[in-house]
Amino acid sequence: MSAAPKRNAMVIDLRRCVGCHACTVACKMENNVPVGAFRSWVQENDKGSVPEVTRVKLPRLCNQCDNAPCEQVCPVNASQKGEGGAVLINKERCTGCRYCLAACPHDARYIDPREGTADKCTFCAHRTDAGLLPACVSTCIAHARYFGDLNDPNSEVSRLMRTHSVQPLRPELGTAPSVFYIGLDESMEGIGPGQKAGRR
Amino acid sequence: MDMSIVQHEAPFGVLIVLYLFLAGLSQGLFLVAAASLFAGLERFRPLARPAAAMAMATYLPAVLALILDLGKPSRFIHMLLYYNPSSVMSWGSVILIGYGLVLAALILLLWRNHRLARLVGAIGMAPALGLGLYTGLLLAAVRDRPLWSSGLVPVLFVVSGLVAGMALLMALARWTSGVSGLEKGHGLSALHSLKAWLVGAELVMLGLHFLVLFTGTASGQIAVRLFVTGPRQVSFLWVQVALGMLLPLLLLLLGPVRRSGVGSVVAAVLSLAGVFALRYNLVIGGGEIPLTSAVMNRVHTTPFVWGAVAGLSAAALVLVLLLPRLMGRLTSER
Repeated sequence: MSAAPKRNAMVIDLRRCVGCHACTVACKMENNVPVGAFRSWVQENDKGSVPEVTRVKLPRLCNQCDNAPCEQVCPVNASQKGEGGAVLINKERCTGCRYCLAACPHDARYIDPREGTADKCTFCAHRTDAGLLPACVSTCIAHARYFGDLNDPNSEVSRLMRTHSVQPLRPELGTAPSVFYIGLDESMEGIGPGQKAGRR
Repeated sequence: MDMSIVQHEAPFGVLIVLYLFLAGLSQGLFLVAAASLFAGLERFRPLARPAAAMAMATYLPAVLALILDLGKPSRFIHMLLYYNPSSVMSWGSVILIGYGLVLAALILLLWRNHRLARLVGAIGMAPALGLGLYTGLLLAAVRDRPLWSSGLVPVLFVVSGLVAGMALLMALARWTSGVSGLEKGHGLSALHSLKAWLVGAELVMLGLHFLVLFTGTASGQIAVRLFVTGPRQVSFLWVQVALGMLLPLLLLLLGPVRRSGVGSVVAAVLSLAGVFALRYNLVIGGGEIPLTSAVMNRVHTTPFVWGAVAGLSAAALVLVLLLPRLMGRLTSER
């Protein structure tokens, strides 16, 4: 029997995230992300009322949806899933029409002004192809990020998915994201649309 | 800068607004031209030639606006080389090309007084309707933006395109009368009534759309607040609805104003502004509503974009004024 194809995923443990933004900076440097754009960032929100106020942190990135709206709307099929399941952009084909920016429910895409084409997180495909972890996972000082193959029952992400209650962002859209959070309910409770941390 | 607040890009900018406006105008003008060739609609017959010529005059700058909006304009050819059946934009590139070819054929046949003009006009109504519908569907297919994601949006685009097309014909009725033989009060008064009905339909659809948003999800209510009491209030409530829809409707319904040439032209110009504002508010207003951030999305505008918008608008105006006359001169020379 042949092994199931890889489906790389990320699990982010919100109980561990300290909001240091090391992931944001590491990603910027690793991927030479242009000024004003982010492939990986941390949204924050103050929750509660004085004196019981807490700051919640929500690391964000492309959710590498299995049923990706960006892939669906691209008029030239420039957005397609790579071998590990991450959605990759064919830079030679992309016309920079921005339709994928409109369709992405996670605000994960931007137009690279240097190239005129769409860009976003690739789960650091150039690193993972070489057996390394994505830059944001490697650099996380709190060990809040885990990366691996969901179809490998022995991977760390599979183990976390079995032993913890995990949730993706915006599951109601049916896009089947590959980024999951531990502690999402607790940390985002009481935060609605239009507020500082935005919609889940 | 607060690192916790990331401002994202709004997907579409003013060049797309201009494209949607000109494409809608072209679709509306084509439908008027094609319908005027039908049996029983003889009183509109003088409109066929100026309407078809103006449809081309707005189609050409519309296509150019679409190409210039691309991050890589030289790759517009990719839209024809690659096809994604699940992408409305892919359908759009096919429709846009097909529509252009049919429009060119119709102009040629009308100019030669060929009997096939009626047939080509009738067949061409499909890509013309397709053009109007797809431009709305382009927005409606984006599930996560409640302001766009409604089946009413494509219909609203077709109807408002028709309104714009009729408005342009009315505004320039006197200018093109030498070409078309269109006399004041001839087919125009029937066009007035039809346009009034269509503006009424637009208002009903817009009202229903906003009612559904208001009674729906929280993000829909955010959109309504932005448009009714928020920063989009002026461009939506006052410019689009009051000046661009209600006032021209009133002018069209009032008998004395309707018979006066000036009132008719004023109503037409206001309608055109209203149709532009409809697209501007939907595209820019809908695009700047943040999905995940706490701040409004930034709209991509550079000096190049503004220059292109100004240049293409001027080109469209010049072509609209010159093409019907040029066509008339060519016809009279034959």
